[in-house]
Amino acid sequence: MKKINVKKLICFILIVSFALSFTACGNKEKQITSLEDLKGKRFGVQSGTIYDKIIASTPEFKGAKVNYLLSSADALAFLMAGKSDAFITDAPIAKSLVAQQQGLIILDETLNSTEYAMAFNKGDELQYEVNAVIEKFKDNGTLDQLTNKWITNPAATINVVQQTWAGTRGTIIICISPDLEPICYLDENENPQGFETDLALRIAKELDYKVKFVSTNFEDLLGSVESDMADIALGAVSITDERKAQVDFSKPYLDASIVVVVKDVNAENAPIGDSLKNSIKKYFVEEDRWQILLSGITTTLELVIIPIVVGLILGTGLFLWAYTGAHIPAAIGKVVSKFLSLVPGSTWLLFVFYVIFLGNNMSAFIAALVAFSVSFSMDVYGIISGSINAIDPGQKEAAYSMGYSKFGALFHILLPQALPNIVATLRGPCIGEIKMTALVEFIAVGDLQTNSDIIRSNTLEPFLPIVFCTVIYALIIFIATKIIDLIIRKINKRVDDEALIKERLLEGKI
Amino acid sequence: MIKVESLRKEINGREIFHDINLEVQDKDIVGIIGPSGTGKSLLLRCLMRLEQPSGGKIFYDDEEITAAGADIDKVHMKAGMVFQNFNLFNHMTVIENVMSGLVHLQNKNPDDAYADACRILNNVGMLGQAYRYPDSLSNGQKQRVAIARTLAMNPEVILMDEPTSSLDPMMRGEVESVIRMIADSGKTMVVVSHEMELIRQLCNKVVFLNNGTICEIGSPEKIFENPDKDATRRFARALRVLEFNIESKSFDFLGMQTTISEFAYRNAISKEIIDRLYAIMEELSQMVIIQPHAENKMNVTFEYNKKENSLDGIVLFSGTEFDEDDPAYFISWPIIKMRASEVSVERYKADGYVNKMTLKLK
Repeated sequence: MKKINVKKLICFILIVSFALSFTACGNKEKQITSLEDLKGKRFGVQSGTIYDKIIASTPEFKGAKVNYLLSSADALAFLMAGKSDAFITDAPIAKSLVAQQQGLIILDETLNSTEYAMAFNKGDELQYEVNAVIEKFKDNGTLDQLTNKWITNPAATINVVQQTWAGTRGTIIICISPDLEPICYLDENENPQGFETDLALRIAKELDYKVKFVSTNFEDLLGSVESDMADIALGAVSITDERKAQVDFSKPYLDASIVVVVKDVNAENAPIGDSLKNSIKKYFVEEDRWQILLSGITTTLELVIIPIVVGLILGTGLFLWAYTGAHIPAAIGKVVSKFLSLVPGSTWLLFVFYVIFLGNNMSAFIAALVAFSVSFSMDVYGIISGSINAIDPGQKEAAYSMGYSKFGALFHILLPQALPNIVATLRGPCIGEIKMTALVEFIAVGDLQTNSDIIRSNTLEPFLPIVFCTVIYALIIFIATKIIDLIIRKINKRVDDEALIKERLLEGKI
Repeated sequence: MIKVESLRKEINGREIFHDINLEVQDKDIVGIIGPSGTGKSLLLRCLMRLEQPSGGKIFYDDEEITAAGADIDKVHMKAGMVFQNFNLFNHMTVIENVMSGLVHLQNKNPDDAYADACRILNNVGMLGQAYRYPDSLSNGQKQRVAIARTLAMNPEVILMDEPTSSLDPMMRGEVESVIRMIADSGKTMVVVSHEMELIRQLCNKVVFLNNGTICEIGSPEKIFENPDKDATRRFARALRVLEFNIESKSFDFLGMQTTISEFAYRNAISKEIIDRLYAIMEELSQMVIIQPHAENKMNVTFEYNKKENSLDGIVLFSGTEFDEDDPAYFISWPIIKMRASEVSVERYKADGYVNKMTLKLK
């Protein structure tokens, strides 16, 4: 059988899937024009929103199937790829999307109506002051001004107001879910922008506070004020009875009626070549987005290298301490390893960030470093212990009979024999570490995966970001594997040249 | 030099040995023998402090090493151990194995250590393999290097735990020569072994360990030829006598081969005689146990007669009454007659047997 060149096969698969992603499904669908047409169809909704309840309670949507996605960019990608028939969102966002993406229609019939507001921890006094300002802004036209600036007549480049005021009363922390342009989103330089962001800053100015913004996922947004990690939470959150049980809402400031977005079946499909060029321009070139990607790659490398180094030091240290026979390090190793083995990497990461450092205003990046360092050091500890224990006990006995001490035998006799095994076995966990770093998107750390996704939701570019991420991660892992293999080869190299051996011996290097 | 008082060892509540009292004087070569499982190796390992005794005392030069807080390093400086499984350091070449103790533990400078190692390797005949790794050596070569490694540390007493048990008979010679050489040089040694010829030639004192305690101590002549205790007599006899009790068709005939070859080696019986014994045993097994439908039984004893250099054997077997002309024995009987120097069969109606065959192989 002809030998298959694996590398070429993988490249081929990547290119084909990439090309296929640009062709829309060929089958001629019927154009959806009314709510009735959506009976039994597939919906894509952003998880953590109330849209699934709305779908369930709307009689016209009987028998609908719902897919839960992380962001409205994902929901849009689902729709464009034909994996869903419609998606449901707030009116301002829908208008914004339709303006940017060809081939979409907003149905005339609308669903439930509600309004956006900011969330506070129950009973927090701050909400009263904020409400007073909102009323003031309604009366003096500031609210209308902002609506115009961000939604109705947006300019090409818009920015929130700069924090030039004194802020003598201190700093408030506002947690945002920056996922919905133009309501609340991050621009290319990761600065918070949007209608609500601007409004919040102006309110802070009135109350003489400075503002610090912290980003999170939509699902964790209300939790941030509940756990007192932030003073205010916002991000196109609509007021519902269920949410009112969790938090207090400010006075509402923006209408949020809910509409259905469907594909325009008659829209033309752009030829693949054009599409690709456009995609590359949007993803890399426009607004210097490649710099964000570079920053993401740098962060990913930091998240890979630092925990591995720290893990090696801590794991080895714990092993040496346990080797003296002390009970504490052995107990630590056992308990922590057992705990980590029971919990998925993503859960551990969230645990470290939200639970262990509860209330501490620590950087998500540091939390990630801590989580990964701990998990890798347990891998190192387990592998070194296992490899040393796997050595024939006769080696230890011969060493002790000659007069080697416990640690003398460890360093001169046992470790040299265990080292090839240790490095070869560490290969797996190292690769695992690299892959695990992508999880930091859960806690909004700007690594490659996160930054690529930010661009993806900003540009609504569905597939090029994903392919790019795949390629870069594969490259990083490939290089890491090569480095480790090089180390393994160097360790295993047995010197066969007699003269060389003799030379080393006479220098005392045994 | 070494004094052992009332030593006791138990593992998981089971007592392995007790009441061990022993004295090893300077230049003594002590052999420890006994059936498998009596704790001979364990005793040696206690002397080396690789195991902790459960009770009793051990003294090295009047210093008690079993006391709490005793300096175990002293033990390792005074005594060296050679293991059944050699335990060479696999990541080092032969010369490095021998040099390692000198450089790491005695802080000798590399040139002196190298010279010493070369000299000792030459004594055991392994200098030509100095740069080879243990995994490319035969077992006999490995053990010689292991002995060299122990000698390099210049211990006062050398403990050997079944030094030739992992070697097949052809390689034992080279290692036994080395051991004899060490003994001749005046080193004190304690050797645990199954090799009775070696023990007999090497040791000036033999300790017979049986049922977890010392049954008898004496010179080799006493223990092997003229022991005081019955148990010793039986053990010594078992070395000279080959005995099989075959009672079913599922007897381990293959294992029997190994037992015969060990017996042959132990008593230095010539290959020619042993080959004839193999053939006879095979025919007997076929004739009495395997071929017939009935479940017969057979008791075989062979004793080596040193004076006449002959194997004298008695075979008791059940089944039909033996008749030379019986067609069932048409192949086996002529072969047996041919291989034995003398053979005769008579009736023996006792203990369930029917026939008795007497053989002599010279």
